[in-house]
Amino acid sequence: MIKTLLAISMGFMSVQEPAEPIKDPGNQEGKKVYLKAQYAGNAGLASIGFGSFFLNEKLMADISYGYLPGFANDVRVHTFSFKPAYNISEFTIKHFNISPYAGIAATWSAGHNIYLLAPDHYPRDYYYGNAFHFNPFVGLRSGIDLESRRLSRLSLYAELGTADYELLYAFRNREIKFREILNLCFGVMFHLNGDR
Amino acid sequence: MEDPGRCKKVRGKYFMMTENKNTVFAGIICLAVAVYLFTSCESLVDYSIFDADIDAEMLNHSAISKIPPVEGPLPDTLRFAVFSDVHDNYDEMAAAITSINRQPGLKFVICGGDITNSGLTKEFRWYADIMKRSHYPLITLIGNHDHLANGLMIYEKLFGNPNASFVYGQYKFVLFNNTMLENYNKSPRYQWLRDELPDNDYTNILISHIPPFADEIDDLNRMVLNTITSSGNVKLCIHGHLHKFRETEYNGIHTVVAGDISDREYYVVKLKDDRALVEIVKF
Repeated sequence: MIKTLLAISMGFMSVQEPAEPIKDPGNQEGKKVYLKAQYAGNAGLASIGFGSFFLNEKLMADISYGYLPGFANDVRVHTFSFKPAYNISEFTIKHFNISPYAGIAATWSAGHNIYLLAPDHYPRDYYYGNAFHFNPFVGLRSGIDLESRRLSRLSLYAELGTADYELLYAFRNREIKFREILNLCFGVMFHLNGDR
Repeated sequence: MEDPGRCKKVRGKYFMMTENKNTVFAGIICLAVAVYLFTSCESLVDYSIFDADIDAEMLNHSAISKIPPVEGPLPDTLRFAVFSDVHDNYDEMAAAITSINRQPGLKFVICGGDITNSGLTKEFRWYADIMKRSHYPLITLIGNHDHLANGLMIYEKLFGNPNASFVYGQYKFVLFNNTMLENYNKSPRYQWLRDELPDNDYTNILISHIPPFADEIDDLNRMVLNTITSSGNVKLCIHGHLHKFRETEYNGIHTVVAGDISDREYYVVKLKDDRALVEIVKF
């Protein structure tokens, strides 16, 4: 599955002729703020959020809210995420802006029997809260510039991620294969045009 | 600036012209294929670490139905294995199952609960994947950790009702869920236990994760539990939870507390009449 996706990505990239990116000095600021929507990725069935690029677009960070409704698999979970990421590189192939990136999402979940601090009926220091987790990820984003008044760019992304406890268990146990701790998500980013 | 012929000026800004529609089309096709592959591969889709995305397999019911029936005269002895408190020690559990499979003449295996750290779906899945290697029917108790998050729901899907019983010859095995704290401080189902432990011809074996003398059991609940067990012809109690093997007599009943699996040991219990002999097996 992962190999197939990589093969598709590489094949897609290889058929394009390398070309210089089209510079539009007046439009760079407008790409800093974005809205996003995501499917899966330990952030709910779907999540929405907003974020921004920083430090000459080397870093980006967003916050999002995701919801897992009961019909998906019997439980309802609200997930709030803060996702900083480092843009490893950025290059342009034809009109596509490609950027691989990596980061760690901090998630806070709310739902049945999920808590930040153990409820009062527990003895003191009996349990740590279970609501807060870290989810490392790597991603690949591909965007295309738009001729829109409101949107400067539309990007699609895919991320391969895991959860903190899964990573720890995989290191501790040979029984857990690396592929078993991975999850894949897809999302779309709407880069907003600045008001200039 | 690029060749102006490739760009279009809109409201004073330059935008690129889409001159190769085939490229865009190819991109859309590739993404559609990727989305199809993604959604068709269920194992890569994680909505939340707290979800309950697991098949209803009723593994305890299935294991109990596979215990070989007693044929002919009752055997002199009954042998079964016990291990407990797997948590995230999957390598040790796999090694224990391999060793148990080499034991001759066991009728079944019992896991004393705490098969997860946090009651998460993947933890249950990893445990279930390994337990299915057991050559003997393996019955799994619920532990206090298995109640965390949506663990109770996941346990019920995967294993069935956490309170269950079965009979082998003259012995009645009663699996009792006595977790309170992690179960919203709900009282265990004492009436069910009272009904399952009649003082009759059966020799009753009570198996619950938390020993009645553990700190988490308050005085009132301890008294209720002791009253039920002492009047119920219980000859052996088996527990886990304390992470350290202990064999003692409590409330006038032979009581065995299994250590955790990371101690790299399990226990073979040999029942003969009303007596139990416990052998520690290192692996």
